Amino acid sequence: MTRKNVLITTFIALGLRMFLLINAPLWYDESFTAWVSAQPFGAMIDALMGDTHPPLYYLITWAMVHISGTNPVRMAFWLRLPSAIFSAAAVYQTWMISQSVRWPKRAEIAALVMMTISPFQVFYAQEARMYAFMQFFVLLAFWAILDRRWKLATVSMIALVYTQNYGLFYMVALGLAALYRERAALRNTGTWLRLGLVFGLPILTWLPWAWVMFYQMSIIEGGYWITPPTAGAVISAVYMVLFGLAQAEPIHILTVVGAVALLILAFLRLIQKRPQGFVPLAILGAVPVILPVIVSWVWSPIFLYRGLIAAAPALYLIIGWWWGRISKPVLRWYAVTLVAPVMLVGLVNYYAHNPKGGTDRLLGVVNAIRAEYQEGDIIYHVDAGSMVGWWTYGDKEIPQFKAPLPPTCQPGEETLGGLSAHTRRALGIREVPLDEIRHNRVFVVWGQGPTSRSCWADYYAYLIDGEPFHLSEDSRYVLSGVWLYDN
Amino acid sequence: MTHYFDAWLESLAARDATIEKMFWMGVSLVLTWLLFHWLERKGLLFSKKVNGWIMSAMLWGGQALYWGTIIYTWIES
Repeated sequence: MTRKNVLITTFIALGLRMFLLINAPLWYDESFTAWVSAQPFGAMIDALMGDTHPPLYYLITWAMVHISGTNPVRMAFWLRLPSAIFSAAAVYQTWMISQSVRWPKRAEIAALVMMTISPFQVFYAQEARMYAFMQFFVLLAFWAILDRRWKLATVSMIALVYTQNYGLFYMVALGLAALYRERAALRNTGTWLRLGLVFGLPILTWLPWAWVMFYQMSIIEGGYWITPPTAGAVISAVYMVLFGLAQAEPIHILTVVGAVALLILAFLRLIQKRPQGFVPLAILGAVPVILPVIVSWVWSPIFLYRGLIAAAPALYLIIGWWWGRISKPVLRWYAVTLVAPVMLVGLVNYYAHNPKGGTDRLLGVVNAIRAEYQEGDIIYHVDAGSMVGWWTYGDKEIPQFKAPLPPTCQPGEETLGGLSAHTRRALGIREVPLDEIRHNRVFVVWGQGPTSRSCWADYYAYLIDGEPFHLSEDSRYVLSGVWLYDN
Repeated sequence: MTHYFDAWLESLAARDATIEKMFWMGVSLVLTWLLFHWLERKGLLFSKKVNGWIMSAMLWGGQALYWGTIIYTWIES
């Protein structure tokens, strides 16, 4: 593709990523981004030390929230904007990588189209989290390695390891790609010195944060929500990364079966034909999937589908290559009629029913309390989870408290994946027993789901004794709502 | 953990069982395809003309099934 056409495609991608950018309210993770980013700089870093992610992305969101103010709609726009831009840039970067490995034109076009309309890419382009940002640095470093721009590769990898912990897995993939790139000169000491410097500097620069990361891991030990990766979880993750969100059930079966067949055929043919440049692409497509699975088996479950986002461009280039090799035009278009609807239906589904979940429940709680609130009332959150969304959409002037750890729970026995005690302290959350707070009436906000602990639910069950003032959800997975009591 | 956690694990296990079935269906599809081509190359199948019909029936039958399902799902929803 010519640079001009690629730029046009990139702008189309940007348009798709900006379209309905603020249609869905900020969901839990995004509200967390907003809350920590709205803190003074030092408090933000302190809050992040109790979380699970490195701080680089939050430097951008900190600036964004300080530009936008705390109006939820303006904040949603400014916080999601960087993700949309970095995600659109990934389309251009995919082309740069394709050019570097001299990938066939047809494969390049197919990969760029898939990157542009991928529902998975658009989802993370419209999320105020660091995944599009991480993808940008992975692709930049990968391209720099292929093009032997070692300084750029070093800087990109420093940014990468400070963006997301999955960056470490991508570093391994990038290292293997670099070794392959330099395979002809590996007997030369200078090559090893250069590679040592290119990969050593990011690791050295990351070491100060490594101490923080080990501290973070110790905080969340035994309290993380990710389950061990089963074969089904891995297949499901790869499918989602490639083709996006779940379709309606009968289509889902066909598309998963088709996607599996497509990937197997593409990889088989790739190994058989070994086109120029296929090894680095296969490394970037496979290593970030395989490594977290191995680490999950030998250490602790950490396999998370959204961390695989930066493997998608390589997988699209591989699928595109297989598609481009189909010699008969009628069969090539046949393949298009199978794959295109999956992605387009996924994209339309995404825009129509944006599944950034859970906030509707919270908005119901906010509106119910707002309508009934009187001077002297307080809000008592049994779990910190509801406080995160409340910070974005609720009235910040209403006094709020969180229930402390019940004496029946062990220290650290808290909601899986919830805010750690460290982060709660940094955000100024007040944890006080209800009988120690002066109030007229109390709105007890109850949110109990799969990640809640039974010792909390049992101990605080008396707070939901009676009819709820507002019931958000009472299902097989969640009980959430508000109970109102007079003092 | 609470019973909500157990319900969640059950739903994950059900998802795994379903998607693993789909995975093996995909593998079977590839194997059938490869076997057909291998037999065809070895001349162990029918005449070239009949092989072409079988191939077309597989391709366009699959396409009809695919689009039929999409349209059916769309109408049903």
